[in-house]
Amino acid sequence: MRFRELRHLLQQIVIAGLPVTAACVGSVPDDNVDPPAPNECGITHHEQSTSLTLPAAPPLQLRINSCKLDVDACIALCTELMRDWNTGGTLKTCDVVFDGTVEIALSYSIGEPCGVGRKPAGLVAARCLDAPTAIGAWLAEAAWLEAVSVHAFVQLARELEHHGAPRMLVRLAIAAARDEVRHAALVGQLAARYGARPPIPEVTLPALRSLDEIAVENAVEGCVRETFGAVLALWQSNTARDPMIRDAFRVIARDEARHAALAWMVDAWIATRIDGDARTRVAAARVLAAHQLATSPPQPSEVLGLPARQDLEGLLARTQAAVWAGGAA
Amino acid sequence: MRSRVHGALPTALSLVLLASCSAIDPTVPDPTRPSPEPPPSWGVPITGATMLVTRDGTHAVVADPDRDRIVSIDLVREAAGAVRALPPGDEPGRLVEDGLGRIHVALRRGGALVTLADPSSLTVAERRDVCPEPRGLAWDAATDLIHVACTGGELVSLPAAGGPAVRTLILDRDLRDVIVTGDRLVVTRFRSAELLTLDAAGAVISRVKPPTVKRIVPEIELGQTIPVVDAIPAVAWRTIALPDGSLVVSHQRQVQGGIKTTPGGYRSGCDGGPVEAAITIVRPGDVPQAAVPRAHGTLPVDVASDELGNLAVVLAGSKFVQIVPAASVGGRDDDECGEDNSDGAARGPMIDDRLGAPTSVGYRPNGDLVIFYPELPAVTLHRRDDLVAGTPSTTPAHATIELPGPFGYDSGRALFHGQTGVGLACASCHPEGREDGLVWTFAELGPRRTQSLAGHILRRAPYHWGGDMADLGMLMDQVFTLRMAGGAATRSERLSLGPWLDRIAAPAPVVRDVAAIERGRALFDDAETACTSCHNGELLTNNMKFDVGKGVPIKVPSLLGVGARPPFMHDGCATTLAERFGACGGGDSHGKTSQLTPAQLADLIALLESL
Repeated sequence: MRFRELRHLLQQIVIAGLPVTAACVGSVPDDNVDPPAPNECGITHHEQSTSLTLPAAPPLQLRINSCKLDVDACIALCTELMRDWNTGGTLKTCDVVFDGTVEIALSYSIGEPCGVGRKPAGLVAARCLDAPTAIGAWLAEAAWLEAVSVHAFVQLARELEHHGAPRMLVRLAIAAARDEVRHAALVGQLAARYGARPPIPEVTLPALRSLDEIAVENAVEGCVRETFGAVLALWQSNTARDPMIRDAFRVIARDEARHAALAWMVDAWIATRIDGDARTRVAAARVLAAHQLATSPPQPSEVLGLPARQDLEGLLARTQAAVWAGGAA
Repeated sequence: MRSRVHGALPTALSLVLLASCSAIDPTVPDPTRPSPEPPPSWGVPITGATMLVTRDGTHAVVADPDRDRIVSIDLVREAAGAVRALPPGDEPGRLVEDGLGRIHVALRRGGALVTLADPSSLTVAERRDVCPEPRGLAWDAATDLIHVACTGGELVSLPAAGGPAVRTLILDRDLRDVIVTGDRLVVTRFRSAELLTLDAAGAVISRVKPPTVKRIVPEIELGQTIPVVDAIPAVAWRTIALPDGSLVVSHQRQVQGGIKTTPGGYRSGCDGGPVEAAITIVRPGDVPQAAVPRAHGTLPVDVASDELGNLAVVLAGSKFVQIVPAASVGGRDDDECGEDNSDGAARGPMIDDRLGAPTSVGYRPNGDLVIFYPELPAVTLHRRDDLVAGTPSTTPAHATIELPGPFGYDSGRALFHGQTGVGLACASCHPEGREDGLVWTFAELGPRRTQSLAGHILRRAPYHWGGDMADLGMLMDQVFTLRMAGGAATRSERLSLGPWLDRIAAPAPVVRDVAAIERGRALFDDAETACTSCHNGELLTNNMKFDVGKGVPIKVPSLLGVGARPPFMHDGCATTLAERFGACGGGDSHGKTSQLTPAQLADLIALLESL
């Protein structure tokens, strides 16, 4: 599958679901999300208050003025404070009193995010994330995943060259590694805005592997996780409340679609060089990986633009129907 | 994307407020609490480009249309200076500096050009009536003339030093910006985004438009062939000249993929909405070129260039300013999704000062950037070194200079200009509260020409051509909340939007041949033509629905300002008023005009142009 075809397909998948969330209510509030199961990402509730003396910094002063004139505008004031505090999460209550100073009490809930992306063989799991907020944690993990993807593509290029793959595939893998360097920096900057620091990737690259092994890894990490990573990034580029996150993920979504297209091209090339049993193992691995994505969804986040559960299910279903069900498509 | 009340928040917020206020008499405002009722309407529709940075870089001069005043800012001392109040309703707009440092300001509703002696004192040297709705301004160094482009089609030239106009040309209506290029003038038209080139004698010697580009329209049903459609130029918010003589047009495009009345149905194209921001470059002697779109967002109301050709594009609906490096401007838009596929291409930072919607931008000669935010009001100053490609978008402003005067707030105004989930604002299709001159193809309804909101909207219910929207609340629910993916409007927004829109005036009438207009009025009032059987009353509509020979009942539109809004009829089939009286206008099922001679029709059209 060529890059442009796949990108068009992924855009169909995302745009078909946009009305539900971006459209009408943003991400579904945490109250509507099923309680987290043990060992799944959890939701925490927080309360915070502050006393502001006037005049405040201009962005805050603008919202204080608006709030004083119109109670409905107080939401923007509390949201701005949450942004200043790098809390992330969903605002629940906002109470403002003007009494010489500005007394603000607000509450919000946050949930821990999960991520998708191409991971290399030999990856050492990340240590605890250095992040004070859920948003920062998600971005730090995403930056870490982008960084480890650099190793994954370097390894892929090395192995493709070893197995005599067409020069174009090798070059595309190297270009993808370069993309991931940029992504890691980009998302790392976003994480820093939310007070988080990505872990350093620790990868011990394996020896050159057989085509069978590469095919299975490519099916899981590329055809499934990278493809769905492109879908999610595209979704985020449309829905993230933070405009800088939207902007960053617009770039990332385009590149990830190209990487996913590479995975499908590798899949098609390897399929002609492995036997029937191996092809069956590859297909089974792909089905299992897609199923695992559905059972470990990221928590919704309006700031990050991560979809609510029903939207995620829609994205998965449409990706299944349009991309994965067609095998190598 | 605009902040929005989500999920359980309204209830929770209400509970907190009720609990806190339970011991307080609700009829007495509590000064320690946010006002439960929204304030009176404030501000006018965003037009963009109402700030000038002087050539020497020492001052910015802000025309503040929301407060009818002009404000000087000393950029060296980083402090606000003189404030020049104008009569209420003047609505100051574009500004230009002449060779002696005088500042000339177009008064959009005041119908005049006001000349200020210098950018520091803002002493009024002269006020000259120009035309009913002056828009764009340019200073011609060779002739020392100020050229004023007007909505009614007048292009008026006045001596910069003062005195009456020396030339008035009548061009097409809906003029916007005017630029001096050698001994020629280039004048833009707002909705069509057309550029007219005039020779020294004032004759139109060429007409060009930004190019149409290709876009894909992802369909909901999977597996279908993805259609490729035209994205046509529209709504030229702002046109400027680059240092090399090229012109830059900051405009919109209509992605012609068709829209639906279903939730989220106003989406199309790669960026979500059926309207996209665009930059077109017009190099001398070359055809206009669509530049690689590096300014994704809503309402590209202003653009400025530094001396190196780097651009700053104001995306008022998205509430940020996008820097487009000069090296990126040259790229051609040849991708169906408007993306730049060249790896590693430079992207400029996106400036988000978090001060509401920016409306105007300008560069100092040293490359520093000045941005005007009308609500607080304030200007921010960004250093050149913070604007280069690769700089984080989070770089804060070097300085925020708060301007004197009252805080400006109107939730209806904010909603009208704010970007929704499909990348669209109300003002995308209703720029300046009017209309975009476009026909939209609805899957369920067929072609529908955008209707103007200007001119007593609250007295014109029901709404839409089918008259199927009983009131503004229903329209907000159906169109803003659902089709545009705007989310549920707050109580304040619902209360505020109507009164804010209702203050937007219909386009000023064009009165040229009084005798013809009077003859036309007699025909209009004649019982045989039956125009007034439907187009009656102060607003020239009875607000009812009729089938005027088009096969479907259509809401009678107000004829106030009708001459300013071609194409005509609900499906836009008549590109001129004359065509309205041809086959597509419904014949004698739409009034009775078949008996009129060509001369009488011309008189009737003269009247319609003057309404």
